[in-house]
This record gives sequence, structure tokens and C-alpha cells, in this order.
Amino acid sequence: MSTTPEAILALLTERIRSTVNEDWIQDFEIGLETRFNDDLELESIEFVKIADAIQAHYGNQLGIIAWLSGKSIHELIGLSVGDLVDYIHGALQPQAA
Amino acid sequence: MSLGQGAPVLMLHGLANGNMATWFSGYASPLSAQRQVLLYDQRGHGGSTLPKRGFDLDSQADDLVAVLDHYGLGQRPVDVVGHSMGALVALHHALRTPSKVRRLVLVDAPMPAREFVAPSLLGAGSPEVLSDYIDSHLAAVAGLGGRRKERLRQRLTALFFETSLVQDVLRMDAEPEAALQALQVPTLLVYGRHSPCVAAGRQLARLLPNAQLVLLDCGHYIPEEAPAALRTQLERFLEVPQVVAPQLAEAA
Repeated sequence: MSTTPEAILALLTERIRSTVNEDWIQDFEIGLETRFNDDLELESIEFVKIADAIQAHYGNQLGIIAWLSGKSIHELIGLSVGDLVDYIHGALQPQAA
Repeated sequence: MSLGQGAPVLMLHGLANGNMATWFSGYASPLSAQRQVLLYDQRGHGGSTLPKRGFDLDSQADDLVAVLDHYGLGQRPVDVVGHSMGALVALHHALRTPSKVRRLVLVDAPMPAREFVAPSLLGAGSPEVLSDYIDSHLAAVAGLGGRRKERLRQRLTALFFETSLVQDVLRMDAEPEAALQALQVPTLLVYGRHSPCVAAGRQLARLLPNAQLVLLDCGHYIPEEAPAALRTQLERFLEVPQVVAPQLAEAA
């Protein structure tokens, strides 16, 4: 399973689109600078669903404790897509091939 | 949603603007280092469907049991944490089947709801009044604009005016005193010092034989208003040593 920042961004983008699931998001350009709060106006429950989908995708490779713990949902929604990519990348434990 | 492994904790959110996000990152994630934490969107909330009826405590406690059964936990005692309406559901579940509840945490439980909750629901007497309230209070407090405010408006309008919610809450009396006095489940009552519901906390503390009341310096929305203090109380009462998250590199 690829854990490069590019692969994480692609996964995240796909999850954002499928979770929001409205017409506008399908054509909306999502990049590292995109902000969940200001640009996507994501609802807190949508962020939870995206986080859960990412966790499910990476399974035990991703320590959810490491990347979400203790942060309020408002702090998380205040992140950019790039911030979240970095968090996920940092929390992914390298596994032997 | 189930996070982590260990002795199970089920967490219930409050009415109207609550959903799994109430507990998810600030509480459920850290607790899941040592416990299995279960979250769900209660009926009519978050990603759950909006049924026309069934917002009474019996139906909602049935939902809770269905979730536990889904995760194969229906036959053992679990810790149950609830905020506001979620706390009333948790308490109702404990009174119906005390053997299925290991410990109970009631966060600003507004008992009786017909007194503490109904006025604010009735205050939103029409979709227009509700809409104004969302603009002036809810959205302002949560810093919502645009798309999120519209979605909240749609959801609450449907919940308030297309379901039996308001009628169900109007019928929600206090739990019978004798039943409360007989409930031996260890219970933590966490209330906001400035919450309109604090009298309910004092009443429950008086009646429940195995309860402790903790007042925090906040209002009703304790999970959002006093996250550090509430988390400390939960970890203390549920005997979960605090876990410090591994330090991550700061985002560049």
C-alpha cells in the first residue's frame, strides 16, 4: 500500500468527494492548500466519516491515536488538506515489505 | 463506529447539533488507546436516517441496545457516557437493564426534558423562528457559515417540524424516584456550573445512591466548552490513565 504524500492526497481527495457527495465537489479542485473549513465548509460529521474511512483504509498501519487524539473537531476542521496529509504521513508506521 | 480495543465504552451525543463528532477526536480517539469506544449517530442526527417518530426514551434506548448487539456486546456490562439527551437515553437504558451497565457518566443530563429541553424546542415555534435562532445562536456559536449553516437549517427544520421529536420531548418526565434510588450502577454526574440544567444534576445526586456530582466551570455544552476538564473526569472515573499522543512533526 502506497504511503507517499501523493498517494495520501489522492486517497484523501477521493474520500472528500465521496463523503460530501454533492455535484459541486466533483469538479472542485482539491489540493494541499484547500481548507476544510473555509474552502469546503465541511460539516464535523463529514470530517469524522473521512477520518474513519482513512483509518479503515490503512488499518493497523495508521495509529489513529497519533494523528487525532485530543484535538477538538474544530481544530481538525481548521486544518488544510496538506496539514492532514502531513499528519497522516507522520502517523503511518512503516511496515516491512 | 468502533475504535480501539479493550473494555467497551459507548458514548452518546446530545440533541439537534450533536452527532458522532461530539466525542470523536477529543474523547473517543484518546480513550481508544486502551478501550473499545463505540459511537453512533442517534436517530435523526448526523448520517443516520430521519424517522418520523421514535424520539422517546424507550425507542432511543432500544436503538442503543441494537448498536451494542451489532457489536456483539449486548450481553455484557459496558460503560455508557452520554451528553444531554444522550445522557437521558443512557440513564433510561441503565434503569431498564442495570446489569448491562458497568458505569454511567451523565454529562448535563436535562431531566426532566419536558422542563429543560421542551421550552427551547417550543421556542422554535415555526421554521422561520428556528431559522432566526440558527442564525443568531447556533451558527454564531459554532462559527458556521454558508453550506454548513444551510445543512444545519435543513436538518433541524426536518427534525423539529417533520417528526414527533417535539411531542416526544414534551412527554419526557423525570425518571421515577424509586427507580433512581434503587440504581446501584456507579454514576458520575458532570454538570456545567452555568448550565440551566444544574438543578437536575443536584436532584440526581440526591437520589442516585452511588453517584458523584462534579461541577465544571462552563454551561450546558460541556464537551465543547470544557474539553480538557471533561476528559480528565472521564479518564479518572473510567480508570483510563492519560495517554500522551506521540509527538508528530509539525506540518511544514
